[in-house]
Amino acid sequence: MLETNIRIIQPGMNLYVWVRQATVTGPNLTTELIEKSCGVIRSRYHLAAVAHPKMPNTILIASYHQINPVHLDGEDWELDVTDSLKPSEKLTLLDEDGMRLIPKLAERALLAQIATSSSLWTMDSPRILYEAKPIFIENGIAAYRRYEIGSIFIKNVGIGIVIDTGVAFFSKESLAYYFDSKSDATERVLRERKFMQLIRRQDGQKGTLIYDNGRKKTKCYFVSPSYGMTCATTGTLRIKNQSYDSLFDYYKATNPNILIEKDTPAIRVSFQNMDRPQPVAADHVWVRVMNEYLPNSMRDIDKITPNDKRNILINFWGILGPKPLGQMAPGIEKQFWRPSKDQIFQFPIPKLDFGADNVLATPKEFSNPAYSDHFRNRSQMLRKFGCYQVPPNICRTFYCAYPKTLGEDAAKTLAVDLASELQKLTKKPMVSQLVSYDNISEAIEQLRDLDQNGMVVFVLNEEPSAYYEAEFQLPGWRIKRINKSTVEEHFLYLQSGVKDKSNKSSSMETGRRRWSGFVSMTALDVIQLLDVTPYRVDSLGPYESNLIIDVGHDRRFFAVSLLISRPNIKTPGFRIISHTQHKVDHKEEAINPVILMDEITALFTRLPKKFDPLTSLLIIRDGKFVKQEPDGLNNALLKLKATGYISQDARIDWVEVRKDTQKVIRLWDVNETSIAHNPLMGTGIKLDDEMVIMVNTGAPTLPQATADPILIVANGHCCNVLDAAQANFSGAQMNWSSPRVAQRLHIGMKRTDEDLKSRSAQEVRRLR
Amino acid sequence: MSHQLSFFDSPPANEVQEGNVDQTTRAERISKISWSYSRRAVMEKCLRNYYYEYYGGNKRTATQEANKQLISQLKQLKNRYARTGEILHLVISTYLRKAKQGIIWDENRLVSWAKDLFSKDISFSQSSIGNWKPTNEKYSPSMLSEFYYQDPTALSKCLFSQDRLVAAIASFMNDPLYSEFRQKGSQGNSTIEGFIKIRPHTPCLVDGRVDLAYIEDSKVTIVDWKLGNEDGIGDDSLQLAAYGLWAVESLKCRAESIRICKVHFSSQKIVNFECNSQVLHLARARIMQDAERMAFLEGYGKNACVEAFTPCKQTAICQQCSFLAICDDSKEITYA
Repeated sequence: MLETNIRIIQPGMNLYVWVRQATVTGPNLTTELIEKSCGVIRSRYHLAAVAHPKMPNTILIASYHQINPVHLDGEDWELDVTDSLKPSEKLTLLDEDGMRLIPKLAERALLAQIATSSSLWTMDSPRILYEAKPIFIENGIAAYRRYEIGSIFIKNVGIGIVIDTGVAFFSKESLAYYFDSKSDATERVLRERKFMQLIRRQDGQKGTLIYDNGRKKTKCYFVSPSYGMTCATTGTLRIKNQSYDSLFDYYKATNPNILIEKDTPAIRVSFQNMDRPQPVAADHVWVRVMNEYLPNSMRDIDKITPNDKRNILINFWGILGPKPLGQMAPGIEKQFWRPSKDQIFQFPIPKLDFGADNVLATPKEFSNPAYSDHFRNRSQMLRKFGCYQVPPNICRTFYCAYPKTLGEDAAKTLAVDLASELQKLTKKPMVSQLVSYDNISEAIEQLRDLDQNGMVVFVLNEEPSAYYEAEFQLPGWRIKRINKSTVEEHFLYLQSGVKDKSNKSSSMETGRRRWSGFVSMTALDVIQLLDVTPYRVDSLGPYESNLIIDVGHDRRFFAVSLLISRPNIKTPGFRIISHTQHKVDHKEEAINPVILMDEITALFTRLPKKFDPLTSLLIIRDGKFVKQEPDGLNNALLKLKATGYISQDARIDWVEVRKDTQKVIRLWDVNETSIAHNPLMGTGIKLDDEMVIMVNTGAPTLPQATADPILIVANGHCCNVLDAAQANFSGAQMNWSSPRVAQRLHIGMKRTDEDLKSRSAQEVRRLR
Repeated sequence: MSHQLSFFDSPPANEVQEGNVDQTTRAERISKISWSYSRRAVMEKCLRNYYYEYYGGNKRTATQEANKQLISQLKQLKNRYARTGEILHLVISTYLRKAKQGIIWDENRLVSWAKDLFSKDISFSQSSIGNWKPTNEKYSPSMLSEFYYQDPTALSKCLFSQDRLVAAIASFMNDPLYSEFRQKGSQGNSTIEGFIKIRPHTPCLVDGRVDLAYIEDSKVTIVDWKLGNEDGIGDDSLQLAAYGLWAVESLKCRAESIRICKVHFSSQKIVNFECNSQVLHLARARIMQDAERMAFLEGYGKNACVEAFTPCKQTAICQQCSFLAICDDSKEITYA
């Protein structure tokens, strides 16, 4: 039985909420300030409030009774909230406003209740809550259980509250420990090194910290340790037009309950929306350790199986009690929501074409064993029959550039093993050539002397701008980057084996397996760089092609990719291309429409000259279409039709794919003994005509963690959202980087994602 | 049915043939870019402002720009911060240059000169509201944007800035903290307001101006004057790192022998920048990355495609912007 982590608010579709309209007045009101007023009303008065969807500077507060005037102010803003004195309004799920606003109000009402009745704490987002005590501490890192809360309207069902759980990591010690000026020189170096490892300073990261001022916890960023500086010796501070002789004086004047002394060490940190660093008490600041930076021994800790997740959430709901939304709703369903049969869909895995016209058929049944076999066969067929398509002019020599400090042994073993693996995949002879270097410039010079352009596996040293230098100075080269530490780690496995959990004996066999797994993965990345198609699907649901648009997390780049997959009677039958471009207006979420149009049309010009126009295209925006982006897209489509890349009568649909959905919905199968498992990949729920949620990963290739679904939203631009879901599932079958394991993202989305990460990794951020 | 795309009426621009690598390398693309810290700062702040400043208001480029005359005119407006900063630099450099010649100007003379310059700007701006036309005269007073845009508090804001300017000059002349700079800056080998034009192992040109630099005992000191408070950037200052690149390139010194500092007159602090070869390496990469962004925008700028330059729409920035008169988005934000 398919179940979700959603609980429906009683009484389902009959839920209604009384709201009061209130006017917000103040200088320079912005959308952010209006939202802030809603947040303050929730935290101070425990009332849910949302911005009015149609009336500017107006909010709706979930209350039947008149609201007393409220004055709110912050560092550089102030506003007043006054009841409009109009009669209370009844929002129901039968009208558009109710469908849109009640989920938000319900979510905020729940957050308000949690704030008053639990010891959970929040950092930046009120939707993400952490338990008061860590669930365990290891290697100086404390793991805290976290809960993420969202809400959703489900047609004909009602409002669902979605809660997911995960683990977040913080340093056990505060920064006062890492920068204790009283510790001796050796200890100081050790502690500082450990700190730098935790924040990954060497990777150009700023270092995310959490600052607890006694009233609330806030995210901030590390600036400098300032050894010897104490709360009393920070010098004068000017905050909110007030001068304070020192940080100590500031705390005493504004926050007398905070436990600090004059000699408490101080450090400098920066806060978002503040233009200059501020000193804060070092013993009130901890490191937020990002999950990807955890030591190897802790890598799997944040993985929670569906059954564990379900049990944790059942407990959590139990703690919230029978009326978790307070007066807003009579209660909440006691069970997680299970969609009806007509809402559930299951896409079969499409057949896959490999080298020499070999086909891997669709699994005969929807079962774990059949799917396990299928994934095992993907890997075996790739080795046995080779790749579906290898460019005839593929380069047969690749270079392996490595820093001399790595040692020739490791580099040589990597190059030789890689050549052998590439040969198996491409069925072409492959040779490697080693290039050792002391610094990146030297490596670049040597490579340029050897070839005009080619393929290089670049083992990068620790030079901070090494990756950028290599990409910049080697135009036309295909560069596979590997960090020196990664090669060292795997080579050590090969040479010395892998220690078992008790650390008593080493297994050489496991070590060899890890090395060969590392080489295989590298080879699979290399062939993709060489425009090899390992295997393909016949079609992308009802579409011939998919166009993907994505913006990098720091908005400094955006990427577009185009996947064409159609019968080979058309030219080309299969192609994937992608392109990354600067997004110079990085403060804006939206891609500039003129630039978006140009980049989409430029992408198509990279297609072969002999080309059959596309008769169907699904456009996927990774995230949301923002502001004028649809204008840019429409103009691009007009141009592409005019130039014959797309036929005039082509079917063109648009969808948004939210891979990091705020709604944090999870799906699992619950058996007759109430044990939850991941559903089979390709399982999904049609929430309404415009929205589906589906898992591209899941059973049987995800044994430890809970499948992370994607949400597909049509927003009126797609005639059948299930078609878009099917295209997404088909696109995800090209799991070329890891054929044994299902892939969460469509290959086009994965390509843009990787391109964006690669460009982001090259960026120098420290200097500004 | 397959057919040749080249038969179509209007083939897409910038066509790249399949399988061919774009022949213009990244290095070639940025070779014509002249990077400066101020240019990158404008680009980071607001792209629409960047267009007006470097294309729309430039007589030699973006020739199709319909509002070129107005943009060029607005480009000459200065806000109170920019103008007082300019006067501070002028006064200090004049003091140091005269001192090199053995002529010592005292504090009163410097302060009254600075006040006179700014007062003339204010009077000129007050009298020119509604009828200002920029001139090409070398020493003509500046039109202050606060008056141009008829900010009712323009005078008080400008007088406050004037006080800050006067305090900064007095501080420069009297504070023992700056005695080294007064003294060493007056010596024969110092560089005062020296122009930078280098290619520090970068394909692009690096442009700028060093406020003060001098060499003593094979150690190079570079000083940057700031009228305001500390900006908190300190060791992460690309501007100072660019000075370091200049010193290494032009003075042939080692990165480790360079001392670079920012003097913040308002907070009376000297912030030192730790210069080393690693940070200069990063600075080179950062400059090239900026130059790549600038090169990407170059085509749009030259073709006067203003829509490709997204306006920032941030009240605090728009309120200070000289191009408010022509930027509808900026107006919308400012007068909302």
